[in-house]
Amino acid sequence: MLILSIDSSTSSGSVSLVSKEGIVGEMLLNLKRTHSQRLMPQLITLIESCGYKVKDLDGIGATLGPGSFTGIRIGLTTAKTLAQSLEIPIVGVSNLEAIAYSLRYSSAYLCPMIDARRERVFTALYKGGENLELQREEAIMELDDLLEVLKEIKSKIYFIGEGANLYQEKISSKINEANFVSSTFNNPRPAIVGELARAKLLAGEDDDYLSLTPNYLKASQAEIQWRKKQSN
Amino acid sequence: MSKSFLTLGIESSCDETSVAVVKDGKEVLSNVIASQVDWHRKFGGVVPEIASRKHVELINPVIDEALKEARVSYDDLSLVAVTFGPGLVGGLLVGISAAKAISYAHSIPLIGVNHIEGHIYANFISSPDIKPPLVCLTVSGGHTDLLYFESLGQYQILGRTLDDAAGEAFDKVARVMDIGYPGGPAIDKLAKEGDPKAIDLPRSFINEDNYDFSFSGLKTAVLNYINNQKQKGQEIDKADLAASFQQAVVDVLKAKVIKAVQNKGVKQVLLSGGVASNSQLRRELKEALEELNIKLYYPEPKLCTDNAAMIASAGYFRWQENKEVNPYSLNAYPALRLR
Repeated sequence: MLILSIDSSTSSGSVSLVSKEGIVGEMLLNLKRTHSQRLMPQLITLIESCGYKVKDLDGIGATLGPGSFTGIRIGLTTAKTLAQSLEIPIVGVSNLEAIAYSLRYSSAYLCPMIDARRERVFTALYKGGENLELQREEAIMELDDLLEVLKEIKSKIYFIGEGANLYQEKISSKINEANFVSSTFNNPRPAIVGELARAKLLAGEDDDYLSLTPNYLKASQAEIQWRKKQSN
Repeated sequence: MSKSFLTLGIESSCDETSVAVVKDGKEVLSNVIASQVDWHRKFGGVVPEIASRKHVELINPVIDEALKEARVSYDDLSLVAVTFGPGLVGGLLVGISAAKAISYAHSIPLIGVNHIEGHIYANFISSPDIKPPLVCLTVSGGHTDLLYFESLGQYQILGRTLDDAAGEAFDKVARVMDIGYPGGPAIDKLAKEGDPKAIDLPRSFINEDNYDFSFSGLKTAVLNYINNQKQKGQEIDKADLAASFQQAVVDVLKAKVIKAVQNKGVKQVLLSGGVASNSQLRRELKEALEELNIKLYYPEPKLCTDNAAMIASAGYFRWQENKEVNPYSLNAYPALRLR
């Protein structure tokens, strides 16, 4: 069993190959250069470096977001079309879950954060332990609103991700139990996306390449304005 | 008989998601077009982010449909051609990502196609007997170019718009007149009931000794006319305005084509792009050229809209010319121009 994972939902572009036994290879590039220029070459380099051919793949995992709309579309379209044309299963993975998953052995609360600009974040809340337990659904939130909610939790919270780095000062000033980890945890690890995908595929939780869509967590600006106009 | 050469075309530069299979550059085996127009209508124009979202949802079902309709499998394909500009970057990237995946998964060469070239090659599908030298007018919402073709794969740009594209002017004028979306067909329809001489509108560059166009002055003149009438408290006859506006556009396009035809001494003219569907432009250009014993070609209606068959065709002729493929680092170029 050979699973290819793809994540290009933030500035980090990552690909991994995992088998039943574990990691075969992984590669993460955190660059400004557009995913459309680097994703495919990176993916091919990984597969070739590991001594495989594209037709050896048995399944594909791809992050659905949240994050950069364009980045998500590039990764997910690549993944869906590979699955479609190779006739292999595909499964979508949350990149917030993938970020939190790195710290799952801690028993604390885990709050992954991706910057959604203008003091808003894409976020969710998990509790660590043997398994990651979802405490608050994924959402886009004003940072202030989120911190109001999290203030009520009187135990240790790890803030993870590039959003957490960006807003560290403000978070620390409002949350007594706020903890931060090294920035190497900011991006979802390629092999973790692969591991989450493999678990879902083994559990038979395949998605359909015809209907799998990004998880933007945010309507387009035009849609928001149109709805506003309608309700006036 | 040699094995037929099948090109898979992918087009996602604006608000149609399209995939096609074309045999030997000219014979369309399938040309599936999923139009998003219904999703954009309420906004009065194409919203880039919504278009991008729709492309991600539509691209894979459309690929399946195109292969099924053509009764071919991935292994039968010899080339993957994809629009890489000009257009909306978010949409272009969806098509490019899908094209790369198919190309890599099945070891098929990948070629990036200029969308405007695609519109021109739509003619070669509709009328396989076309032979250069010829003059080509390509007009749509994003461009207005006048080209001279020496051979099938080689052309020279005679002139182009210096500001708004002709189709852009149609859309903007239709929007201020509030007569529906998309603007081109709406004006075309309404103009049939109006008097083209009712309102005096400018025809920029019509007498200048070049092949360039300018439509922003015309658009502004229409806006000013509407505002003046409103200030005077006078009713606007929308049919007259549509007819007068359309006549001004057609007059300029026609004059430049005739000038090019006479200077270049060609016997064939191609019309391409979304505005090539405009009934008055077709009729008047055809009549004027017939008097000069010149034949006008334009693609059938389905090939005038954004479609992937034309992209496959253009990609095929490009490939035949120099066998150059694009690397997997191929990016989208929203402002790509003809070179």
